[in-house]
Amino acid sequence: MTAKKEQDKETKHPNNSKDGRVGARGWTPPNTKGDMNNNNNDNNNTDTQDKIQYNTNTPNNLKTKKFQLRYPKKRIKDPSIYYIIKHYNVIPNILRANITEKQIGFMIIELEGKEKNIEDSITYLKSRGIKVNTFKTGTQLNKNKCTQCSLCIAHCPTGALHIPDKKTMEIEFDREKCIECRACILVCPFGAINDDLNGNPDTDI
Amino acid sequence: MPKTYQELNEKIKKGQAVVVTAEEIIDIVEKEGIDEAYKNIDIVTTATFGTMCSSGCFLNFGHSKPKIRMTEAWLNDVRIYTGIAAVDAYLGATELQHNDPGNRYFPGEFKYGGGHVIEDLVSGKDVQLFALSYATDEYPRRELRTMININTLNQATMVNPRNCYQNYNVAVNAHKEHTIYTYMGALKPNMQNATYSSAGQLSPLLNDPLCKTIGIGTKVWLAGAPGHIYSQGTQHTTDCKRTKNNVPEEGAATLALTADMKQMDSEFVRGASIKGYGASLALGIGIPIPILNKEILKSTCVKDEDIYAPIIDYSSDYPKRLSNTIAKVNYKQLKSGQIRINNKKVKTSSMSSYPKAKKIASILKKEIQTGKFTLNEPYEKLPQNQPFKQLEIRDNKKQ
Repeated sequence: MTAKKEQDKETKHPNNSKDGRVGARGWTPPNTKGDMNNNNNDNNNTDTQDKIQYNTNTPNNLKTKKFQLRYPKKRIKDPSIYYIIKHYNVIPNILRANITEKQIGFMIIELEGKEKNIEDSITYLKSRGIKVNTFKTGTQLNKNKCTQCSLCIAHCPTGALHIPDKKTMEIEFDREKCIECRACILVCPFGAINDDLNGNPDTDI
Repeated sequence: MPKTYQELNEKIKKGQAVVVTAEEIIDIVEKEGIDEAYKNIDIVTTATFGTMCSSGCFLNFGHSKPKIRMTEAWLNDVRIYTGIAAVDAYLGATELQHNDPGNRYFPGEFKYGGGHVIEDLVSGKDVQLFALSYATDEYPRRELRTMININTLNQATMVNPRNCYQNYNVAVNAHKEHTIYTYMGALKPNMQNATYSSAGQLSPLLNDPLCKTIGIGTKVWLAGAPGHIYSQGTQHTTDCKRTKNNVPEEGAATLALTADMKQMDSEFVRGASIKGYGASLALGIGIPIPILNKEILKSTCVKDEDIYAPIIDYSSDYPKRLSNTIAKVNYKQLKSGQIRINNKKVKTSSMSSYPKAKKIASILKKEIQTGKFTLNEPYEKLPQNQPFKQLEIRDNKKQ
């Protein structure tokens, strides 16, 4: 079901990152890596679903949004994600986190749920002093700066950066598959890949 | 009937030369056969685009009032070599910016260096020049700080001691735990990824493996400007393993190139920051191969699957200068995105840009077709029998 839904979405709206992305990633069972393996094996999701029984029905009124959270030092030990799951019934998908005691608190999280619930959980997080940035674009490939060298390809864990045509060897970036891991940003010699986070998110707040 | 440079140049001037790229020639010869293709085709264009650390440029700033004899100088805080005449300097591609922490916070980022200054100059940006001097009678000024750009310079001549490596290693990391950061990019442990660096079937020296037409004096397309080969490149060697088509299976011939930077296009001159390694410069180079005889035509038909490169372990064998080769792979396999080493799948990626090389080959093709770019006969061959020497560390016996 999910795999079929995803395929439909991909064909209909390949680049609809700006508008809410209704169930773009859908709900994937937590112990399958979801999109992580999609590039190698298209049938992967359906395979695992045959073995594990999960309720994968994603109602149409659910939305998925990506946020960047920056924790002040005093909130690092707060179980804030547990709180929003419990009280606002949202499904978090932590794409990247770097939370070290006494140092920094940084997380990129995707929340899936009713729009109202997502808004409420963000209001809650903000009330706890956590800075929340909404992604306007997320990671982006600047085609003017890119020299098409393909050095990033081997570092992309999800196949978001890929070469569709081996004859032209040109690189394409599939935003839907990107999990904001920043591996490509770090290896690109030409600074051609950027995200819209202000400054370096790994540094202290 | 062998063709000559003069005949080909006359054809170019009349706009009648038949030019194809090194990629197109493969299909043409397959369809028409060598004899027919030889009759029709005059020139094959080859190209490459990749990071080439042994690059740099000579600059002449003109004289300030009063004059200075620069002893130390910086462009955008990147040190330039001033151990030549008063306002002449050499800017190297891998020079770091002043106070760059290098690899002290490993792996270093090297966000700005010599290569980036060269890119800024070519794209016409203003660059800050700061120079110091001990002052002499005729050059009394001791210090200077001003903005310059490519138009205010008297000369800006790119002079690269080593470009266009004929073939190159495929780098992997066989270490069990650590990622290593090399000039071939970040290599993950346990050979999780491999990096190669050649345009393969489009690469100039792989299309002329014995350097029959590419020699000293050959006119080349260097980042949009007409330039030429002024010497053999550093580390040029003919002492290498070759396949039966004479194509080297490892690094072999290299070229030293020069051209006027004022005529260059910044799309093909790009500063590079290689994490954990340093700053560098990526350059686009195109070289036309005149089809003087059938032998030359045959060698331009080389395909990715005929060109092999050695897989080298950059975690141990390469730094220790051990000549171990894990395996050999061809460029078709490398370009597929995945190779097999010891039955393990390894993702591949390239330091060299094939789409850019393709673009350069077709730009050069157009320039020759329209008579803008003509051929130059080399006045001397590249060394045909040259070994590769290593540096042996020895004590000073006199002490």
